[in-house]
Parts: sequence; C-alpha cells; structure tokens
Amino acid sequence: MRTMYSLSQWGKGILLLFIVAGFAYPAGAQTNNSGKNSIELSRFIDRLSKEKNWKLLYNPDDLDNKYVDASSITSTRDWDIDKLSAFLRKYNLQLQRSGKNSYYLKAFVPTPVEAPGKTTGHEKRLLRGRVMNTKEPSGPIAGVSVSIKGAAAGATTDGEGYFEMNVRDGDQLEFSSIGYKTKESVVTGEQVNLIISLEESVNAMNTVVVTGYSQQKAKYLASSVSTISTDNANNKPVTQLSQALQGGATGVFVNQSSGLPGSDVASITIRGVGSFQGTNPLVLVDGVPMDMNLVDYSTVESITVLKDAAAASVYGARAGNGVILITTKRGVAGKPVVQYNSWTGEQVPTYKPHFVSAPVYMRLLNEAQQNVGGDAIYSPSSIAITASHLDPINYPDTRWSDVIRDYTPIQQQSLSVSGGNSTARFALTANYTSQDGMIARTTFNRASIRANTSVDLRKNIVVFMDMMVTRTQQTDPYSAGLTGSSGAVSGVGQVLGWIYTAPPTVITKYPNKPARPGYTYYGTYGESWNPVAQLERGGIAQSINDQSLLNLRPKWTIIPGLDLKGQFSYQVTSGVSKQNRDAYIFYDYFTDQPTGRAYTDVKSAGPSNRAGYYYLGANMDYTRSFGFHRINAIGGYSQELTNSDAWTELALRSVFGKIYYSYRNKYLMELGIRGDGSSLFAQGKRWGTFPSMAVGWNLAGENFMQSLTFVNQLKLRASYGMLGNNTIGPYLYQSTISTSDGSETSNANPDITWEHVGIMDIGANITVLKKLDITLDYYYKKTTHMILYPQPSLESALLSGPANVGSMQNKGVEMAVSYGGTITKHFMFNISGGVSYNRTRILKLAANPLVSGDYIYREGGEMAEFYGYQSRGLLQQKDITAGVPILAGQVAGDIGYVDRNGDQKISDSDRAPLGNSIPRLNYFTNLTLYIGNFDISTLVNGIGKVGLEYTSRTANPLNTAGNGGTPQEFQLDYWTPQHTNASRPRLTPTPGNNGLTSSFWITNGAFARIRYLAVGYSFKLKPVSSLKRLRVYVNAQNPFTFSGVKAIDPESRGAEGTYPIMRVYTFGVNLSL
Amino acid sequence: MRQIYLSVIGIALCLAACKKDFLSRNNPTATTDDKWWNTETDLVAALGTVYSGLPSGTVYDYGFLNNVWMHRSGATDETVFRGNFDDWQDYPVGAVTTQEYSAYQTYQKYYGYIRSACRFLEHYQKAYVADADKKSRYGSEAQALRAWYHLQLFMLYGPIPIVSHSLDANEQFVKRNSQEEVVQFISTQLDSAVAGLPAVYDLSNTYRISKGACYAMQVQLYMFTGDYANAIAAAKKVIGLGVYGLHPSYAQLFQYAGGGNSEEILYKPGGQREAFFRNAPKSFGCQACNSPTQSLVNTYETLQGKTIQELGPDSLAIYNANPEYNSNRDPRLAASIAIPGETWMGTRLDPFTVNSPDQIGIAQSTFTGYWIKKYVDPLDRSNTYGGTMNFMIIRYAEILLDYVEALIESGQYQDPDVVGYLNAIRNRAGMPSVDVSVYNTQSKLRELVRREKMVELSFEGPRLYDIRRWKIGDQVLNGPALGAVDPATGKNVVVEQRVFNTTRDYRWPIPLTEMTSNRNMEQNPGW
Repeated sequence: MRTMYSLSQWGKGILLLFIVAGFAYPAGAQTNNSGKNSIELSRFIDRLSKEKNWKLLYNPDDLDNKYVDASSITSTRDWDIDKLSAFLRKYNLQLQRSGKNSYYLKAFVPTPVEAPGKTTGHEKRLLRGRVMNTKEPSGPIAGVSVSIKGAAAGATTDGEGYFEMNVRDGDQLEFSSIGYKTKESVVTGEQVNLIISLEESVNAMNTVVVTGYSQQKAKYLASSVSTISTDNANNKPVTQLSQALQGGATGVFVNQSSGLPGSDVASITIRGVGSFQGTNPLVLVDGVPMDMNLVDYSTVESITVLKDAAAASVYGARAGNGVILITTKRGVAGKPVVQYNSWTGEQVPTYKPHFVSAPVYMRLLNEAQQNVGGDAIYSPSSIAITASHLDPINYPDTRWSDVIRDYTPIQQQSLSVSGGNSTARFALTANYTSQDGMIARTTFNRASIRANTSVDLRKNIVVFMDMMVTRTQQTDPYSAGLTGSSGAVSGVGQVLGWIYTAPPTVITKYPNKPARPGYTYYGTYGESWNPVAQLERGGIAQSINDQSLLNLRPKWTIIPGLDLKGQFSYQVTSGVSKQNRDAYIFYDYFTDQPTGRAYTDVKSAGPSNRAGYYYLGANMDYTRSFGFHRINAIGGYSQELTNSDAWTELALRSVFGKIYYSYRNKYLMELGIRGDGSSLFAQGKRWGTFPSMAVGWNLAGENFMQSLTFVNQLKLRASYGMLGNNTIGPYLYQSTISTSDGSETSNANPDITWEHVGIMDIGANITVLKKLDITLDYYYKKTTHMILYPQPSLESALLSGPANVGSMQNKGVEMAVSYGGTITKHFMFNISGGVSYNRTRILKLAANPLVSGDYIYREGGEMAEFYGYQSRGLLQQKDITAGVPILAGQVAGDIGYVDRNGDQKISDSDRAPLGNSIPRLNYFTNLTLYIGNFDISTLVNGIGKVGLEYTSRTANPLNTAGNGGTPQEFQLDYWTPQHTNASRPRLTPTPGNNGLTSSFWITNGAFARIRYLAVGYSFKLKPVSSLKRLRVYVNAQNPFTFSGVKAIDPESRGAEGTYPIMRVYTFGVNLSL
Repeated sequence: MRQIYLSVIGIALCLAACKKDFLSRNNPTATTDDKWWNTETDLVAALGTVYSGLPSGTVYDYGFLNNVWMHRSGATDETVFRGNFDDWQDYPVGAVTTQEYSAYQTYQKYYGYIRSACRFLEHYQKAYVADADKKSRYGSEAQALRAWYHLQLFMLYGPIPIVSHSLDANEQFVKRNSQEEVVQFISTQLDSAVAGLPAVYDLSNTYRISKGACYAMQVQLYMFTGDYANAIAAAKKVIGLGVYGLHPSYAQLFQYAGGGNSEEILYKPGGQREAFFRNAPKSFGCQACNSPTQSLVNTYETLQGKTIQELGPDSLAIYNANPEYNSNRDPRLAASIAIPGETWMGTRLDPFTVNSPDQIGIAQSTFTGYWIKKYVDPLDRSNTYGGTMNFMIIRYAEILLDYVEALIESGQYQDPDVVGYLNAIRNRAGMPSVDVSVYNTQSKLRELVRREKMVELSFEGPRLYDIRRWKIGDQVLNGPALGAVDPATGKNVVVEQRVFNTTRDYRWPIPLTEMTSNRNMEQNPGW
C-alpha cells in the first residue's frame, strides 16, 4: 500500500489516452439536479475528494454496489470529515487517517453487540447464529443487522459473523446488510443455532461473470462475454442442455436438426462459421472439457459464452469456435434446502406427412408412366375397386403415416438437497428424464446424479470434490437396411423413410390364416420394408452410455488476494450397444412362399465408446488493489490426455496467463496469453502461442458524464487476439498403412498445424435509467491457415489429408437489450432481446471452388452456398416451341434451367451459386411477467432469410427406380397441359432432370418460433410453513412457428428420414422445503 | 512450513507430469511401409486388395455397388434397370450428368486399385518368400491387374492418364495420354506379366490371373481399338494354350452344376452372391432389378437358325406375343430369360394380372414382363442373397467370338475358323450350324457374329463395349424401350423413351470431382 495515488492526476493521464476531443464536458460539472436518481458511492467519494481537496483512498471492491441517493446530497458545501464519517457508517465503512488530509476508507468492524435482556416474554430463549457469505471458502459477514419483524429488538453481527439474540418460536428474523439480499428465517422448535447465508445483491455491472479460470465482476471486463439465463432450460421440456442455448445470447446460433429422443442435441455456432472442420465451441464444465449434453441442467449455476479473442484466448488452440463455460451449483451454508422439480407432458410432432390415398397414388403413377411414353400400370377397374374399399385384402388403401404417433409422453423428475455449514457444504441432485418417440420402440431415458461438495480444510483452504454419474439409454428400432449388420441406431430414420416409400397399395397386415396359427402375414414390399413389420419384427437397437466424472479442485488462499488452485479431473465414458432381433420369415399371404428379405436372429451386444480423459492443472490467481489500481493476474499450467477409444491418444500441454487491470473502475485492460502443445501435430509444429489484449473505458465514471445521471453505465470496449482451432483427427502428420493388408490409411502432411483465428471486437455496454441494459458488439474474425482437405486428383488416389491452406472471415454485429420494470408491487416485468448478424466470406481455398453435393465453397463466396442451376420456372410448350435451351429429354412441364453462359445448351457450366444455406440473421426475445402470484414467460427466436432446399421426396416423391415414394397432398399441384401454372413439375416415374439441384427447389427458410410459453402460479405460503415454495405451471414448448415453409419443419429441415422437432405440452411443479 | 511442503509437492507433481515425450503419440493401430511388407502373408493380403476391384455379376461389394456387370446391362439395350441401389436407369434416357455416381465411383475406385497395384509392385520385393518364382508371380499378377484396370478405364472413358507408379502430391495433376500410349502401355504390361504367370493354377487359385487371362485382355484391348491383326494374334495365343474349351451345356454354365468349367478365363469368386435375390421375380420374394427388353428377346433365333424377323410378319407377331412358341427358340433364350406365363420353380409368372405378385411396373417387380434367368439357380432359392456362384468376367466363348469377329472384320471371313468356332458355340447351345448358304459374305457374317455375341453373352457385360465398338448406340438405344406383349392390348408394353447422343454417349463423363481437382484433366466431348 505504499503507493497510493491521488485521484485526479492518474485519472487525467489515462483519460488523455482515451479522450475523444470535444466529448469532454466542462470539468467538475455539478450533479445536483435530478431528484430520483442515485449515483455510485465511489463516484460520490471521488467528487467529494476533489471538492474538498481531501485524499480519499479506498479499495474499489469495498465500495462496489453501493449507491447514494442523489437528492440527499444536493449540497456538500458544509461537509467535514466527521459528517463524512457519519455518512459512511451507513455503508458499513469507516475512515482511517493515513496522512494530512488523507484518509483511507475501510470496512467497518463493529464491536459485538450485547444480547438484549430477557425482558420481552417468558418463552424467549437465546438464539446463536452466524451469517455467512456464499463465497468459497465461505466467510462471515460482519455488520449484518438481524431484526425480528414487528419488534424493536435487533442485533448486529460481529467481525466473525456471529450474533446472539433472544427469540421465541415463530419469530420471523430478517437479515439485512447493504450489498446483500435481505433474507428471512422463521425460528422453529428447539433451534438454538442458526447459519444463514446471504447472497450479494447485484446490478448489471456488479454481476459476477465466470471467465476463463476465474470470476470477474462484469464491470472489470473489457472483453466480449455473454451469460445465458438458465431460465430457458429450467422447467422446460428441454432434453439436451445444448437446446437451452437457443435464444440465450447474441452471437450464438443454435440449431436443432432432429427431434429424435436421445439424438436431439442442438448444434452451436458462435459468431459464424470460421472453419471447415465444424463449429463446435469448446465447452468446459467446471473447468474441464465435456459434452454439455451430459450435464443435467438443474445442476447448472451459470453458462458463460466467451465470444471474442480476449475472453477466449486463455483457452488457446481449441478456442477458435468460441468457448462456453458452465458452472454447476454448489451448496451454501445454512439449513438444508430440499427442492423437487417435476414436469410431465405429451409430445406432438411439429410436422407430419399427409399422403394421398391409394386410388390417387395409382392414378398419379399411371399418369407419370404415360408422361414418359410408358404404359399405365393400374387399370381403371383396379383403381375403382381400391377407391370403393370393398376388397381391402386385394385392393388395400393404406395410410402409412399412421405409424407416426400423435401423442407420446415425456417427463422429468429432479430432486436436490443442498446445505452445509461454515466448514463443509454440499449440493446433491438426482435427475431422471424419460421420453418416448413418435415411432414405436423409440425411447430415451437418462438418469444422473451430481454431488458437489466443498470442504474447508483450513480457514484458507477449500477443496471442491465433485462427482457426477450419468446413464443414458437410447432405444430405437433396429434397422439392418441393406447391409444386414450395421446401422445400430439409425433405425428411426430408416423407418421414417419407408413410411414415405411404401406404396399405399401395400397392405399393413393380412388377416390371420389357419395354415399358420399365430403367424402374422405382412404386406410385403421391397427388402421387407413394410414399416409396420419393421417395427413389430425388426427388433431393437439399444445404446447405453455411462459417464462418470471426478473433479477435484483444491483452492488455497495463501494470503488474501492470492489463491493457488489445483485441479484434477478424470472422466470415463463407457457404454454398450445391443441389437436384438428374432428371426422372422415373411411368407406371402397368397402363396405361402417366403418373400422379401427374411430377418435373421440378431443378438449382439458389445462395449462401445470406452473413452477416458484426465486433466491435471494448477493456477495462481492474484488480486490486489493499489489505490485506484486493481490488478487480477492469473497464471497456470495444465495437461490433458484424451483416450477417445482403446487406442487413440491425444495429449495437450498448456501454459497460460491473464491479467485484468483497472484504474478507478474506469480504465480497463485485459492481457492474455496461452501456449498450447498438441500431440496432433509433428514435432516442431506442436507449440503455438495465442496472445490477446482488450481495453475498456467506462465513461460513466468520468466527471463530464456526471450530469447525465440517467446513464448508469457506458463502457466502450475494444479487443484483439489470436485463437486456434485444431479439430482434426490424430496422427495425420504421419504416413501410415494398415497392418492387415498394407493399404494406406493416411497420406501424411507433416506440416499440418492448427488454424489461426484472429478476432477483433469493438463493443459497448450501456445501462440507462438503471433498468435498461444494452450491449453492442461489432467483430471481425479472420481464420488463416484454415484446414482444408483438398481433393487429390482421382488418378493419384491419394487419400485426402488436411492442409493449412484456406482463409475465411466473419463479420458481424450484435445487439442485446434488456429492460426490467416494477409497475406495482404486484406487477413486474422483464423483457430482453437480441439480434445478431453475421456474414462469412471465404477468402482463400486450396485450388478451384469446392463443390460438394448441393453446395459450393468459393473464394469471395459465403460458406456453403447452394450450387446448381438457376430455374426459369416450369417449361411451357411455348418455350419448347421457341427452342429455349433444355436438357436432353426435357418437355413442357419440366423444370426449365437458365442457360447462363449463353452457349445454347444446358450444361454443368450453367450452374451458379444459389444463395446462403447458413442464416445471417438470428434474433430472440424473452418476456417474463409477474402478476400477483402468476408468472408468465415466453421466448421467441428465429432466423432471417436463408436458403432451404426441398430434396428427395419432398421435391419429387415418385421414384420407381428407387424404393418408391408416395406423394403428399400438397404435391398434387403439379403441371399438366391443362394446369400450366402449377407449383411443381409434371409427374414422372423417376425424378430425372427435375431432381437436379436448382433454385426451383430452394425457398426462403426464415422462421420465427415461439420456443416456449409458460404460465406459473406460486402459492402464497405461511411464513411458518415448512414448505418454502410451491409453484405449479403449464408450459407449451414450440407451440407456434411462423414460416413460409409448410412442407417440412423449417428448423430441422431435411427430407423423409428426418425426425421433426416436437411440440411439447407439460405440466409441472416446483417445490422446496 | 506447511506452505513450503505444499509448494514442494506441487512442483514435484508438475515435474513428474512433465514427461518429455508427453506430446509424442504415434498411431498405435497403423504401421509404415518400412516396417511392413515382410512376409508372404503380407503379400497375399496386399495382392488381395488389388484383386478386390474385379467386378461381380450382381450386388457384391456394398462399398462399390457400380462394379456389377449384370446390373450394368441396364445401361445398354439388354435390360431395363430399376433398383433401389444404383443409377443405371439414367444412362439409356440421357439423364447422366458429370456427377453420375456410377461414373464417378468407377473412375475413382479403379484408379484406387491401380494405386494399390503400384504400391504392391514398389514394395513386394522386400518381403521374404521362400519360393522365388511364386514371389515374381505375385508381381506379375499385380502388373496384369493394373493393366486390366487401365483397360476398363480406357474403354469407359476414352484415353485416360497412365499411372505406372504411386503418385505423390506433387505429381498428382496428370494429363491424359494418347490412345496409342494407353494401348502400348496396357499391351506391354500384359506381355511382361505373362512371362511370370502360369497357364494353369492349382484348384484353390484358379481365380488368379493366368497367361490366358492376359492374352484375353489383349484380345479385348485390340478389338476395342479395331486392331484386328493384333486381336487375332492374341486370340490365337489364348486358343494355343490348349487349356480352355467350351463347356458342354450352355445352361449349366450359369448354375452351380457348371462350376469350375473349362470356359472360365477370369472370374470373380462368389461374385454372384446375390444373383437370386436381385434378379428373381418379386413373387419369389426378390427384386427383379433387371428386366430384359423385347429387343433382346427378339434377337434369339428360332431353333432352326432363322431370325424371327426373316420369318415374316405373321410369325414375328406370334413369337413376339409368345417368345417360346412351341419351344421353338434358341435354347439360350430359355436358359437366360423367363417369359410371361412361364412356370419357373413351380410358380407361374404372371405380370399382366392386376394384383398378381409379379404385376408389371410396380416397385421391385419386372418392368418389361421378362426376368433374367442366367445365374439364378434354384439351389439359391432358400438363401436368396447368400449364393456362392462365381461370376465369369472373361470366358472362352467370348474370346472365340472376338476372334471370329476379328477375322471377319479383317477380311478373312472365309477362314475356316470363322464358321468353325461359330458352329462350336451354336452347336454347344443346341443350335444348328451356320447356314453357309446365307452367311457367306463379310456383312452377313458380321450380322451373325454380332447377333451371336448378344445372345451368347447376354447380361455378362461385353454388350456395353460392343455398342461402343460398333457405334450402334443410335440404333439400339433410341426410341421406346419395349417390354412383353400385354395380352389385354395385344401390344408391347412401353417402358420408357430412350435417347442416345452419338457425339457424347460413347464415353462416360469424367467425374466433376476430377475436373475440379485436377486442373490438367480434359472432359470428354459433349459433357
């Protein structure tokens, strides 16, 4: 504490670095107007010291979150040190003289208060208690006033947080202290000892945010960090944690492409696609990388997204796609709290096919055959008999979509107990989720237990010991498909596909026949692809996965402000995969001969996914304030070893450091660096360094802003840094061959190394009128040394291997707004929203544009643009007559393609990019209302314009060359010579040229979806009741979708094999004791 | 004190963890060329991968579904293909694109096998094999196989780049070679391979490339380029080996009964595993992927050696409506094709009755009213996709017909071998000898040998190349594809309209993937 600086000198100095000329207001502008507003205590102290020429020094942490009512200090002209001293007592602060006109503000340590005499009643007895904070290790809070509601008696806690007072049964104690949330407790029974934990009360600026390896108050951050509310998951039928990130933060695009129970994880893209190797961010749960979907969200305390390089660089080579930090809940000192949360409901598919009936199907197929010069297949009489439904055995009319169930159950039960005392705390949570699929034999369930304990070994050493075990069990129809053996869990997609391909003219089941008692004759089709037969006789495929985790984290506070933290974590994942099917021979109902593919016995089970992971690391965390300077420095080391299977080993060794510096809470700086060494790369290419820097300026702390009292926070931020991305398979720097037949398994690239991701971020955090928070960010992200797998020439037959040859950029803006208001005591609301816009641009590729399937990747283009022919609409007879260029065999009613290069023929060279397939814009709005005991909340999110391609049977349903296909009702609007302004091409038995990728099949996939709409009612409970909370609610998940896309679900997209997202209606209860 | 303790422990832990080789992890399940290639077992395994690209008759290698020659008949005038697993139906209707999967995969995979062969040849000398001759035989086999893959690519895509060693990344952008160079390369490679190969293998190794197979490949190569003199010379070498002969029964050739026959020059062991399932009728619980066309059926002569066209319109109509009328057709028809109304394995095949299990045109049923019988052996009925029959890639009768054709085309049509071998083939099938009063000119004999080739070798694969050699695509792959006569209408069923582009369709397109990855590659005309 030797160097304490006077307030103004340094301030002016740093101000000069930042200053924008003309922005400065006349110095010392007086802030004595607006009556209602309050100002930060620190601001007031700074102002006072200037006015009075006192040197008032303080540790900014002590003044955090303390405010002065501006109206009470309109004039300070008559203030002296004594008056200030009295004033500060209200804030639990006292003055300590440190020189001439120089004082240090420090926390007030009260003398123990004597217990009031036993004069107020004969039942009274002495209650001893202690008030603790919720920090780890837990510490006492001094100066908390403890009062009995409705009585004058009171006490104040001493320096160790202890208090004593006389109470009687049923007394309601109220604990309050500035900077903490007031808490009540009812005296019960023989209670003589009481431990109470008080939570800090915070506003937006003082929110503690989990950042890399530490926690920071939001106001010290100069980097771009978002926190995600757990409300999007709590009490919602969210089956995977990744789904809960939807609508959680700007810059985060979350998309769920399947609703299949157990496989319904959402993909997460943070600030655009910066790599060809996927967009998966690095997810750390309590400091260790982990699949976030294994985490039971009822155990989640906070989710933080590190979006820019300054925030994420401390995670180095893996942080290029952004970092998500998840912290789990810990117990706080106090009486055990029991919470029970449960919901149960029904799922309804958001999308379901509506097929045409058999007679229509027959007519369409005939028409299609005739359109290509073939003969009709079904005679008019057979169509007529089918339509009459008089002979259902010989002329069936089957609706295969009936296989899809409309209502299927889903439920979750969660029970948690947490509590502890000043030396040990625990939080134990058990959770069970189960879900049935819309296809029979499809189920998912998950049970997980997490036990987080914190034990204080000494006053300054705490050890976190966390354990988690999770079992997931996913069952699907076993669907052998063509290969007869593999495809364990792909069954649902196959069955869904067959619902679209099995013709309605095939019967589901025939009646029983005496020839084979008890035997079911199924309508046969193809290789035994009757979906009902498949579900009933095809057996099941089951995959069971067990994950267990041990996470040990000792923390030793060597001296106040200096922590040494260690971490050892071990995870093991192990599972078993089973396929179980009984043999079944399909006999033809009429001939009693075997038909189709017989099912053989399949009884196989084996271990799967045995993977291990360990993490060993330590870091030092040092926080100190030197007058107005505050420094937080972190440095550490870690090593990790992943065994993704029995053989594969991935090693990573890292050193990292980070410094947060702030001056008077106004001028902020972050410096970060990380070095990573990875076994993915060859020697000499292993180590990489990832530096970053961020600066911030909190203008609201400046004098010239004092007149703008409605501005509570105005922080400008700028950052730049380097990150890496190393998402490649192991051993690719070596040329290897198979030991079984000498065939090549990898053609080496010894130079392969990670991708370099540079991110620049400029942002602002604004709080006005205390309640309106606005966060703005602009970023520019550039990936160089981007890893591509250039396609070698086919003649060389070289294996495609990774090479650091590409480059790509992402530019975007984000805006998040939130506003909370209390209209009356019984009406409160909170509204927040965010908009993110991102645009990718490929700067450099290996060689030519890369065309992959329906997509093109080209320099100057966006990531994965659709690529194909531009459609000129359906060809009409006049076009044919006029001789427009067409493909061989095309006639009127087919899709016309544009001859872009004007060579009078349609060829590959006429293809062109057809627009983005990744949305540029996404947005969300969240609204919560509290009206009396009711609460209502809703979340809407959506994406802006994006190409959505109808493929496969959504585009051209008929395909007699393939597995068949039944048109849906909406596909009846097809071209005929009489109906030339149709929305779909003429019928043909196979898609032919109409199946080419073209703009004809690409539509705008923008949509907005109401994610949930929940209404809850909290019962008003008697304070003495042992029940602390009882709330019931109903929730509708995905109830409404607004989109121009009607043929498929715009979010999950896909064609016939895609399992749509579910609409879920639940009823739930929250109970705590 | 305690703090010092802890610090020491911490530092010690750290040091213990800082093993120097922590970041060095070699692939534990793979090896490298310098450590492998040691034993004969290694060579046999590596050579096995080179062999694995030989084609099968029906679905065999799920990773290379297009390498299946009976299904490929759907790209010719022999059949109409409708399968749920491939794209041959695109070829006859002109719907092929540069992204056609079969054309892509064939190109990509065959060059893959060429690389495997090159790598074998570059490394096999290192291994220890007690019998030095055997070791050099392995090398010759790889060399011959490499030539065979080049030959297939050449016939499918035109003159292609020759790849004679495993290319590294810097050499990968190869250019096409000229036709002369390609022919020269294939031929000399085969010549050199012949020296190290036996004419006959022991029973367990008969699938391996022999001297005869190399000569037979040369016959095919020269026939394709119209170099009849060299074709004749190579064919004479095949014949001169004296190890091949015509199996007495044509029908038996494609049954288990004909296994190990003297006609096999090159075959794929077990290559007809799914023949029954893929080709037998729907009423047998099978797929009927390939439906023979009426034009193929009409190519079979009568038992008297007359074409049904030369019998006059009345007879033509009778045979058209009932191809086996009075059992008076070339017995090869009954051996190769099942017709409407036929009773086969106890089931009457009835494509023209509504709701018959074999109703024409419904998914996974015949599209023409005909079915392939060749290689569909009743013995596989109870195990429809687990057959073990071999698929003959080159058989002696084909080489004899090539030889005859080469004699005719080179003007030596009066050579006694012409009629001699035609008779041998016809008589074996139960057909009368060539009527030399009719077939005594070059053009008549040409007509005859072309017809013989089509009926003798139907669905076996050569037809695709024959159409290209004879440039008859616009005649045989244009207009309506016809099926059997529907008794209700008295007319042939029309399956589809076929389109052939003579400037384009004699070669498959170079795959788009190749065009974008190899800047030196040139596309075939018209694509």
